[in-house]
Amino acid sequence: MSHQAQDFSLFRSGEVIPQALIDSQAFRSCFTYTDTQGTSSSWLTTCFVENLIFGTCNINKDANSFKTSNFSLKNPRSRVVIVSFLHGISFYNKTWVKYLGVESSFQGDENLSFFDLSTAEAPVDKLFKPVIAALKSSALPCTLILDHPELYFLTNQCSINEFMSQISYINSLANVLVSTFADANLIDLNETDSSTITHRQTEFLTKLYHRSQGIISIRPLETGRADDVTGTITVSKGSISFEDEAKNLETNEQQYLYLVNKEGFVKVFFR
Amino acid sequence: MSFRRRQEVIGGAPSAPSPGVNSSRNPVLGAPSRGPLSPPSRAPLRNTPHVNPTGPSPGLHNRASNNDMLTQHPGIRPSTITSQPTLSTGSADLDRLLAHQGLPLGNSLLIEENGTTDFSSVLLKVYAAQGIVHNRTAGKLNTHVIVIGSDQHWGRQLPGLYRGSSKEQKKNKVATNESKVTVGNINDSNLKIAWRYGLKKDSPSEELSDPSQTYPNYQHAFDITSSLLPAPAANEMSFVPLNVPDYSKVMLHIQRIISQHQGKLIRIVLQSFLNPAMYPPQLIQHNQSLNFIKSLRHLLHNSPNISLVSSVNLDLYPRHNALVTMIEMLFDGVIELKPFPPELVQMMERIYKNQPAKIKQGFLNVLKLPVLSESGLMVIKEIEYCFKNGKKKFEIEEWSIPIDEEEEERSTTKDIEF
Repeated sequence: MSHQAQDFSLFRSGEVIPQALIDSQAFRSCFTYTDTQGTSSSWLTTCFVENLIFGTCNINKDANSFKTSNFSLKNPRSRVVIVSFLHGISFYNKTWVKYLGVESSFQGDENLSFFDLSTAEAPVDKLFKPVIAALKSSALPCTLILDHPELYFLTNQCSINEFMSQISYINSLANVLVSTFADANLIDLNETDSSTITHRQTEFLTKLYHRSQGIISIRPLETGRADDVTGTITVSKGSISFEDEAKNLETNEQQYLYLVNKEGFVKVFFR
Repeated sequence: MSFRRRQEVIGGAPSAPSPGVNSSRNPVLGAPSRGPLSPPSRAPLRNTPHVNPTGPSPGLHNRASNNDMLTQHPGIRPSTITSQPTLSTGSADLDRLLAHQGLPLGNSLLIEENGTTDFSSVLLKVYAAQGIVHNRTAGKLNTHVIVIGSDQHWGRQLPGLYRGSSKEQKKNKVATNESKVTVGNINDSNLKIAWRYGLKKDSPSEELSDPSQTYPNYQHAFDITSSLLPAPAANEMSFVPLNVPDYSKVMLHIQRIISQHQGKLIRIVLQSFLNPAMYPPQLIQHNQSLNFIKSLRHLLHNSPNISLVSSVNLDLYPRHNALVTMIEMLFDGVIELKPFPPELVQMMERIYKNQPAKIKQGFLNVLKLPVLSESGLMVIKEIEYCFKNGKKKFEIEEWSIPIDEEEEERSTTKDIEF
């Protein structure tokens, strides 16, 4: 009796990020993944980095799966640029040592570059200048991961439209994955005061969803905490489809249960 | 037949009576005139009772040879989960709750409190006092406390070390006396038997396996009814005022203090964050306050010797407020103190009228744990723990619903009658 592999995938092809999406010259995608308190998405960021570079995914196999790949950090599937507004590189290094095989003192290289903008105060039109330069100078396809960008516009004088236009421009140069908070306290569609955190975060999320091909929501269990399940992952289609630009690609709408243990290992199950 | 008085040092000079002890009740006997007993023949006996339970183990000696401050500091131990250097919050139960046996360095803890009580300030004070006590026990300045928003008056309110109940103090005194080489102690038949059968051989390894013995000065118990004396000096504790137009001045002040205290462990206390009584209106703006916490977070994550504990009042800023949600996101650990509603307090007082120690004061909810929450582990535990602020310590226990036996009995009786 054979068992269906309960693998995590974003696409119908069964892949997390398919080669066709990376190679596509004409089309750049945007995926949004949201987390809440209690379900930090940092492990998923590491999973995306591993998949983009090596084509493997530790949560579908094991921590050593990257070692069996034909790709390496020197010869990656896609270059990865991480722009983090929440963490420094030392935070990710702890898991990258395990899942990407980098040194613990790794500070980034041309194929996996890291921009720590956690205390950035530059105007929004200058904020992404070094990032855009890195994307433009790359001969290999690039994927940009934006780690909780709301921490920039919630603490600086910057309109959501200005910020979104920067993301749109970057998205024209590279595939983009955006992680952001989506706690219930931060979202209120009836909020009218445009200066509040709730209004700004709601506006950002709404506009981001309308730019995305796929939305991944990581949430705690509605029934409360459990020892054997951390939460749920819901993959759903965004407002923009792949149909026109990349007809063969289709978001795999699916819901998973997942478990993170104290050692940081993640296991995903179909719901 | 002559008797030698107990507690008398053999062959030693008669000791001066300790202060507080009535010398007339402790007459000095002429022990030297009886001639010294032969110490070498009693060597095994002397060794066993004289193992210093708080003395440094060989492992500690190795660590001490390392010049690195983090390994030399008596108030730092490795996290039991991640092996990161970790310091004590000053409350043993809170250290246990944080899963690392303390707060990992470079991490922050936010204590949220509902209602008009002020339990969080007790935790902040023991956190600061623990740093000062490390200075005093080590005999050198190895820790500096930075208090944001309060003045020297706050420093003078830090609790002193818990010396034990009067019963325990008496017991300790007896234990200290018994550890001395006296005729009474050496004649103790139990020790002879223990030595003969080798029962004492295992004791050193047992001591090593006990964390409190491996890290003897890691954490202390504090008595909140007493004061830490002498009060922290300027070279032990600094105060950062908040009468500034924006937080950049506060950050500069903090960074200046840190640079003045290089090579020390820094404990930052941020009391009653955003309380309008302490914070001027311009500092309560959400983008300013979030920027400040972001800057502190960046400072902590890039410094291996700093930790931060803060408190916020949830009556002023409820948890459904987006600002509080964002602040929680930026802290590495978050706990919530939720005092019991009056009905529950009355019920507990009724049920535990003969066991007052069982009466707790509120729920303690865990919302985030340092390092673990960031890695994606789900650690939210609501109404699973309760707390009690006692004289001796801030107790945290698992919550269990009290059973009203009288009520149960009444209902059973009724049923039978029916």
